[in-house]
Amino acid sequence: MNLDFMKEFHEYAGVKTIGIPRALHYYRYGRLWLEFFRGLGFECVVSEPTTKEILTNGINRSIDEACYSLKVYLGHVDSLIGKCDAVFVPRIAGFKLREKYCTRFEALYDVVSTVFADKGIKVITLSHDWKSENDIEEDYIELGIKLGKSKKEAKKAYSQAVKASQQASQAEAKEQRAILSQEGHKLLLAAHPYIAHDPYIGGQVENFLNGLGCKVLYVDRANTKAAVKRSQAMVHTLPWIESREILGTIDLYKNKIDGIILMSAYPCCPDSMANEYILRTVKDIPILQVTMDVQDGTAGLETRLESFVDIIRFRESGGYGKE
Amino acid sequence: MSKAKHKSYIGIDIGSISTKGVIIDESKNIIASSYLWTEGNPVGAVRNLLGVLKEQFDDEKYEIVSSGTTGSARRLIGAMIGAGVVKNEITAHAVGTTTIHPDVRTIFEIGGQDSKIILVENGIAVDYAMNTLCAAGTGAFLSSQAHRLGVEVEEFGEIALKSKHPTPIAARCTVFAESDLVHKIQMGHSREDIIAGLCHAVASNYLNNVAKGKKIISPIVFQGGVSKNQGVVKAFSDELGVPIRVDENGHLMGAYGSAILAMESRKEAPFSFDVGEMDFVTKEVTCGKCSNHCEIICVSRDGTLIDSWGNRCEKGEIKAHKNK
Repeated sequence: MNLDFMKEFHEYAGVKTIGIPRALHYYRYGRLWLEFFRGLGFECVVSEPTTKEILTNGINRSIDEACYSLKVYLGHVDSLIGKCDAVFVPRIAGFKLREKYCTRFEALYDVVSTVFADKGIKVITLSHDWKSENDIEEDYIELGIKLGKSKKEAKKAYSQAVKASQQASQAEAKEQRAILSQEGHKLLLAAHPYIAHDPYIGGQVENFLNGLGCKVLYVDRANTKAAVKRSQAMVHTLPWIESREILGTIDLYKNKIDGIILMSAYPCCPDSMANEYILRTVKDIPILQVTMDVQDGTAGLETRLESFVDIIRFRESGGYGKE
Repeated sequence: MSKAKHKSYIGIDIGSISTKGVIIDESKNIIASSYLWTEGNPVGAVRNLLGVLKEQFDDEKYEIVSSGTTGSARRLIGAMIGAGVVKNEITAHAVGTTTIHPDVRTIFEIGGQDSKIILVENGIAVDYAMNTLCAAGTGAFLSSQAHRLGVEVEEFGEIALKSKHPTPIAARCTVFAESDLVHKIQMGHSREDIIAGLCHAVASNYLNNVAKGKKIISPIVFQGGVSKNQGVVKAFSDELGVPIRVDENGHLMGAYGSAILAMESRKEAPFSFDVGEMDFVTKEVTCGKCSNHCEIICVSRDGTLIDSWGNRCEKGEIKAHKNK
């Protein structure tokens, strides 16, 4: 039977190049997406790492109250216009009632479609949340079908993508485990991956701390499954998975590291609650709280990091001038 | 035969509002000190500061062998005077204060725009916190409210002490505080009660924000411009139920700590007061190598580039020529 006429029903027909904004969930699922789309034979364009220009364009596209990270995301979408046939904006909102991403992930597809309505860009998506009855794999397969591929092709591309991204994460986790047993001061950058790894936001922290002779550890390179499990014993009601990962990782690492940098983007609803909990309950380890805003300049951040490292060193050496 | 000169050390603290300088001898005694306004011109302020210090300084008896800078313009001035130690103000304050008050456990500092808390154990800083993003409850806030009430901010403390029933004022945010203040004035609260209320608001805002979650242990030393306000000092001791120490030299602690750090670094280098008379030029260059357009500050002395900073990545690095 010839099913070619079915192509007419493919929602995303004609798409050859897929644009992926390098922001938010990209820092969590980016590798999987790239493998998946490339495995299906699509070309992918990832937006450039965040720059001032991207941020400024994002701010211009945002309402004032939107958080720093969403402003950055919209800037990345903006930078992909004209470079691809469609922009991939997933709605991956969570998996369980108490393992959600924050509301902006729920709204992301609608926000982007509305904000860029004047640009006539095609937005492709997949939708998954804690109410979904199916596994997220099925959502990816459905996306593959919408893109004109067979179920079999989509299934294969997805399983290969999962495998590749897991391998890469495992390699990173292994590297981080090696750092844990190394000499030198080790600091956990307790932040959402899209804050910690964005070169314009938390990316500066690693460079600066390396310059001071410290090593930086990341939450998403720790054992996140164990961290979430640990967090369940600590607090029952916390709804956000990334907050659970941060909290659990702090608990897993606190005896192996010298300090914690709690970094948030302003304003952040999950952090405003979770960080408060951390500050009140995690004792006996120095914690530095840093809030990043769309302001320019790194001087304030450097002052805070430098004095934090001083304090860690003075604590150890038991006095000034004895380092 | 001339006797060898005693060693001494200079520390300079260049803040956004004021510039402080201290010279100490080998026993950490202050032998010269000065305090003046930065007025948006750190290079000029340091030039004036060095002039004042030079007059107080006995150059027959002492010789400056090492220098340190701290405060928000520490890098700029560090490059200018060739400082051996360039350290952040939190460390410098902690070092200075613990030297004068070896038993201190908690340091409160409220300045023009910044407020911080430093916790001390066994004479060393073990934890600190700083206000994030907003300046509610700092000196700038008090100044603007003083202006509204038609009072000089310097008189605040004295007026506040006269109050028996401080008016509660919401000071979490400057905008809310201002509308609350207007409301309380219209309701007929007396001026001294309102001013005392503001002082209480500063103290409770500080304790609930900057010092939130920190274990405050006595002895407490209170520093920064706002510590000169007796009303706020009283509000703190009322809230905490313990006496608060305010040091006469509290404003100099950053510079003092910086001088001690210079001394302990054992990095000796010639220092000249005349450095202020050299021709310093700071130039802002916009890096065009990517769309970040970093604003790079280049400092040159007598036409030679000595340092640069402000670039986010190595593409914008501008290196000083090593010509000795």
